[in-house]
Amino acid sequence: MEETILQLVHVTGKKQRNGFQITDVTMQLREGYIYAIAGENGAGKTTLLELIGREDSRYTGNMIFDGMDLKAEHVKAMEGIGIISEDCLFFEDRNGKENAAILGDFYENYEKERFFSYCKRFQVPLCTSYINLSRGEKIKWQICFAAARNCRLYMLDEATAGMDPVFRKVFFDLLHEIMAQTKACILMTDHNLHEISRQTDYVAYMEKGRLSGWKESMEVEADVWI
Amino acid sequence: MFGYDRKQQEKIEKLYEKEKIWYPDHVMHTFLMWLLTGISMIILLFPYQAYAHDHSFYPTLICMYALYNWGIQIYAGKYSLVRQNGKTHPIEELLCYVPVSKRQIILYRIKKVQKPVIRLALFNLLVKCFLSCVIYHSISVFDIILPVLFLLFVPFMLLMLPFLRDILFRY
Repeated sequence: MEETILQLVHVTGKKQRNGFQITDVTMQLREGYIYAIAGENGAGKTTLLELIGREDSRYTGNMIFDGMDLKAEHVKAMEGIGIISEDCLFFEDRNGKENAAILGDFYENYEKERFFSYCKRFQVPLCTSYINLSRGEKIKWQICFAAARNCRLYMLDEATAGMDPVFRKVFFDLLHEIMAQTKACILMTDHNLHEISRQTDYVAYMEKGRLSGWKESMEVEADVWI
Repeated sequence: MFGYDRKQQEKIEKLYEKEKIWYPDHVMHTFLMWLLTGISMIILLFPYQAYAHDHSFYPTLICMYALYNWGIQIYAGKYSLVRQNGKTHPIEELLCYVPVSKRQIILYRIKKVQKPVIRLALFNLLVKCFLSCVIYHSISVFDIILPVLFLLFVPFMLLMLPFLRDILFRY
């Protein structure tokens, strides 16, 4: 049976100034699957990912990652969590190779050769400064970097937005391959329920900070067409 | 109590020392620190007995202590901010998804700032006591308390504010 990688039990975030709040999110992500959260702008998808990934996030409930309490062992847990988002900050005036060298030092499991081999395979330019990379290249660089440190959980925040269909297919092939190699699971967010349900295993819909139950993607796709 | 983690400290040290990410603003931060603390020191070196009965001098004194602390906070900015492509980002934001605790970054900053702060406070205390001895032939207890409180304790407390906020409002 597949191992549970991330478990959220009745997680409720701190109310923001505009009154928005992640409310009572319960979910269980198992290895080997791609999970997607769809929803409109402002539904709380990014906020949920930040709630999971940030050390200073405030919430009630429990988050368990790979058997560790995320709040108590956040630093250790971040070794195995890769957050991929256009909004992530990196050393913009350094190139991909330098960024990997600087940040790789922070990770125990980071393998330089593995990073280079992924970058070579997926044609990620390593000598271009980070700021000059295209959106797709930035996302690919981040995935290669996360894969090079054997992440157990990949959290992709609207990573596929704006991708053309051909590149999207290559992108999901890459995700499946990495997931198979590292026994990981992927949690991603997107606006387009139809598009995302074709490429993932389970889909949930988020609305006003609340998450609906997970449905199998095929089931969701059929519903969308009907 | 503060959960000092040597391994994480070494990683942060490596980031600063090897990559020199502070370099673009290094001169400005250091220069401003010496400028502001230097200006404030002129007044803060006066022995307590020189203004003990002159209450009108107190606002000036408070301003000088504020100026001194501002200078120290600017110096700490060298270990708080990263400038790239004309934008300044807090180092905590840059490392927010990296396995290094925000608390360790604050501790690292305090570790780096403590040397000039301790030296300045000690210098102020010794000069204050010396002048007091020479001019008034006695040392007031405030000649010791004021430097220790405002030049040593307050700067560290200000640096630890995010740390304390993190502990107090964790949940």
